[in-house]
Amino acid sequence: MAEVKYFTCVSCPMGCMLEVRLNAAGEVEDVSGHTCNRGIEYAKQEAVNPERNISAVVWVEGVLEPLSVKTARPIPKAKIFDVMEEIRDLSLKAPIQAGQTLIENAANTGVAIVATKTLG
Amino acid sequence: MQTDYDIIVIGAGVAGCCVARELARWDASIVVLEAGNDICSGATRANSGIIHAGFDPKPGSAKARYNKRGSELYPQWSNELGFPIINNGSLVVAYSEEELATVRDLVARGHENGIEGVRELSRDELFELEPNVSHEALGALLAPTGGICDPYHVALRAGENAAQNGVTFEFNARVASVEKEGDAFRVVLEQGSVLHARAIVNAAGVYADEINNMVSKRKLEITARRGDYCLLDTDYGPLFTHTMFQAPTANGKGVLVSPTIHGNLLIGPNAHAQDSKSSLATERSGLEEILEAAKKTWPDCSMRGVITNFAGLRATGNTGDFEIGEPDDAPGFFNIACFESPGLTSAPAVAEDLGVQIAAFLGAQPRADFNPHNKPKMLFAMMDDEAREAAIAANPAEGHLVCRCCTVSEADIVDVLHGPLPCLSLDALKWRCGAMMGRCHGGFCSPELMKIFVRETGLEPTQVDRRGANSPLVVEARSDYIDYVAAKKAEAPEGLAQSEIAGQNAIYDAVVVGGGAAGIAAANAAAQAGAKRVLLIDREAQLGGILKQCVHSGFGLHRFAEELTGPEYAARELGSLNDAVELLLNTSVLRIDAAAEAGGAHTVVASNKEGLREIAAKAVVLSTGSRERGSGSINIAGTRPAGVFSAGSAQNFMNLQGCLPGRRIVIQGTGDVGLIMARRLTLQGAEVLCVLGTSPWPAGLRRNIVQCLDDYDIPLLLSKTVVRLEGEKRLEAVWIADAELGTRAPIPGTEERIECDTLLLSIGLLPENEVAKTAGVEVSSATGGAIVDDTLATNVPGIFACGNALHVHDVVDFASAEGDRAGLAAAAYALGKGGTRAASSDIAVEAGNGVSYVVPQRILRASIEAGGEVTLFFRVRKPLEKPSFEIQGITAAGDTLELKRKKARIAVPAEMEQMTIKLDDLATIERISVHAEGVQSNG
Repeated sequence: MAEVKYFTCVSCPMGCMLEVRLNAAGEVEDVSGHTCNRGIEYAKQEAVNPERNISAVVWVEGVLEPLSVKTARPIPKAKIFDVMEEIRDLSLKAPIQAGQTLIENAANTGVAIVATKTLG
Repeated sequence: MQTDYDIIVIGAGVAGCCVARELARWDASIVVLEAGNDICSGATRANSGIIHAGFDPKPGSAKARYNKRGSELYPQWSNELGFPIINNGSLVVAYSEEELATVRDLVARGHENGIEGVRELSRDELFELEPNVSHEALGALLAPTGGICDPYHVALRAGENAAQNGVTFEFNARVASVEKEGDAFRVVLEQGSVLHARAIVNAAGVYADEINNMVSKRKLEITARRGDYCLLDTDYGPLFTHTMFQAPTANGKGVLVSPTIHGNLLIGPNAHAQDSKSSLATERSGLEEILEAAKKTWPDCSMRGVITNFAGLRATGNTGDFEIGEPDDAPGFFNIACFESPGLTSAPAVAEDLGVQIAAFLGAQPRADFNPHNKPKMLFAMMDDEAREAAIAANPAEGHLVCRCCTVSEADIVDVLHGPLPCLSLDALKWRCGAMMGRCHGGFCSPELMKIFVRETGLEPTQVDRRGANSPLVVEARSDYIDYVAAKKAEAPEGLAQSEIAGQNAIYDAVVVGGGAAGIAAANAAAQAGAKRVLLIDREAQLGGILKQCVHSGFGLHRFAEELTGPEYAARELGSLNDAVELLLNTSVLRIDAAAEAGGAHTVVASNKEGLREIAAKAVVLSTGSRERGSGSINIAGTRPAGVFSAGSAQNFMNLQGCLPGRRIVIQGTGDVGLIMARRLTLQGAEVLCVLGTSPWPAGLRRNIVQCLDDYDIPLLLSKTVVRLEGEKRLEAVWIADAELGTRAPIPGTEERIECDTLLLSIGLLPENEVAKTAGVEVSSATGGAIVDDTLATNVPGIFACGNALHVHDVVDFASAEGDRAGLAAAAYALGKGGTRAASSDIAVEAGNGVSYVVPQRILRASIEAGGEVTLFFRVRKPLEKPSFEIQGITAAGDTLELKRKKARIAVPAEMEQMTIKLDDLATIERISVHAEGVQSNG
């Protein structure tokens, strides 16, 4: 059975309403409603394997201001809380540079956790 | 803790504090026991603050006597103790012939009570004095000796003076029992301690009957009568000069409308007897009742301008009069009971009387070393420039402004935390120095105040109470928090030293006020355009503004074609900052003295730890950002517990201080900050129960609904509003109700209770333009920002505006782009390429059908002659499906031309629209209007 899924594109603030047609094998056949190519990519990904970027803050020894961190690339949506747990378990010391890798392979997603600000 | 005293005063309201001060004149040991964790925890705190002239009480009563004497003592006490009063006079206004007769009776009573200057005013005289009073008014009583004060400050200064003269104050000391034991009284506190004293003063407010009845057979009965109040923004304070009473009628005493000593407008109270002597919860019906009743005085009265509501309890006795002094059967026990209005006015007179009586009872001698003077530190806000210079030179912390709404310095705060009376909560701090009392309700400064509070008191962040005991502001913080704030010494301003600025006596080409996204861009663009000296000023230690706490990603797609987090976006902007831009950080701009003549230099007056700065600037760019709307703007009824945050302050606590604001969270408002916080709190381990909004469509970006709510199964409840808060200390529950379509008013009968410990308010942003107003910049009521032309120039030549200070943006990239344009225009102006170009032939730009505002509001004729393009930014009023936008030009002949038309799939108020037109097309146009048409959708 072919299937149609609807998504709000989150690639940019436009928030296009995307329509994705899947074939019986669950493969993307057609995308409509997009206004740019990022929309097509997003729709294909979201229909098959939704991914998200997440950001968080972590306490760092040596400064009061927590370190802000993010996933270097989107991670599978289903892995968000596993990744958060690893982020929470980080034990860090200042100084830290923006862009520094803090976890190489968060929750076996193959995605790194990086610092988004310089501290200390 | 000492347990044997000559005198125990029960209650530290205005009665207890004043009597303590008068008792301190005598050689006696004195303690004041207060059940709350601060002075004025009862009726004094929520009070009209009126110094009554004394025309109202029944002649011959204790009320009449003490009122008259008290009113006479106020100026002297104000001088000796250092609290301000304003002798604004009181009016009792009549709106019917019957009321006019009542007013005449009151005038006669005023004469009988011996009150100076009381007389009847004719209608004309009344309008002369108060032009904004309702045209229904027929006449009034004038009492020229009436005044206003801050009741908390009267009690505070009297209490401090008592403490300075040796009186002990014990907070969180609720009296459980009082009994006679031999020649003394035995007083037991609820926590178990036992104290003894030879004399007792019962100033226990609504509980004074219970205390009296423990020792006297002459029983008293006090009913708590609740009065609800609404406090309006200082914009409304100047509407009336006098305290405006309504003539009493068979239906009640009416409500008063009065300026307050802090410049706000106060409306209230009603009077509802209630069983609880502790519940200070306001009722929605009560708030509606007073706002409705106030229309009799001020017909335009509405929710508009309300910044907060509160309720107070008056101690109404069963005897119809104050009960002052010793009951016949209890020598040594002195009542200040049934002390309802005019208790505040009478307090100094009662204190004077009882002081003498109690000293005689004890046989105490006057103290030779009694010092009647309390010289409180002058608040930074009250100082003139010269005093500020001197104060900062003596103590650099004076130059560090923590609360920008009320101009409260770090020195003000530290002084209060180490004052003569213990300061045990953020609320006590607020009442004493004014921090958090302004429009932002602490949204900006409460995170900074937390650091100072912890540093100065040594408490853990989770022990810092918002209001009463055990009302923590945050529920989790790192255990070593205190080490970091203790180590954080007074930071010197970064960037330039004073010598560098003043030494060369230089005039800056451009000074940019506010170093957020728009300000950084403006400074950079001005420097790149050839402005020779460019200065960027920011109040914080680091540039970046609100980007610093926006740790989520989603920034930079337009400007850098890359998705960045807030700190990364700020770093990217700062990384390419032009070397010619000079920085002045940790510096607050207080005002701008606009150039006396066009083309002259403006003077930017700023404050930091090195002193007051006067910086000359040919052009000024205002990029002061926005502030969050406070809870007052939705007037939620109920209690006032800890746990209510603006979304931005909660974000600051989490992302910049590592504190968790709460565990079970409801978010009111569907704006982006609230949505982002829903996700942040969830990821950080809190439970977000729902996000609700009053309108049928969300206010935030669609992608944030998807990524912040849907992803985490957080319910989005539309057409709902929080109507009531529950919880005495920390928030325990909120009540929500359906909001009516259109009015957004709650629909009775639809209320629902949600247990939670935290309410986040994300109900919109307002451009911050206090500095702009000091320069005479004209502000639009539609945007809340300056009215600008296509070069982003305001009505004041050489002053430009951009970013959220101009109009609230939903995408930071656009705020930066606007900063670029403002910086360019400022440079052109400073370099003489712009000049004063506004002309009467400029084109007015208007918001047409379906559009709430358009920026810019003017297009210069000079720009049209130069050619090129102009982009109009606007927002639709309501969500529209398949909208069509049209820019119409109206010619001098009155013909309407279609300048441009654009179609879209959807338009929502949350997302700014933009359309660009060619300036060449405008040659014959006089006026432009922007229209949006389409099918209304639910977004």
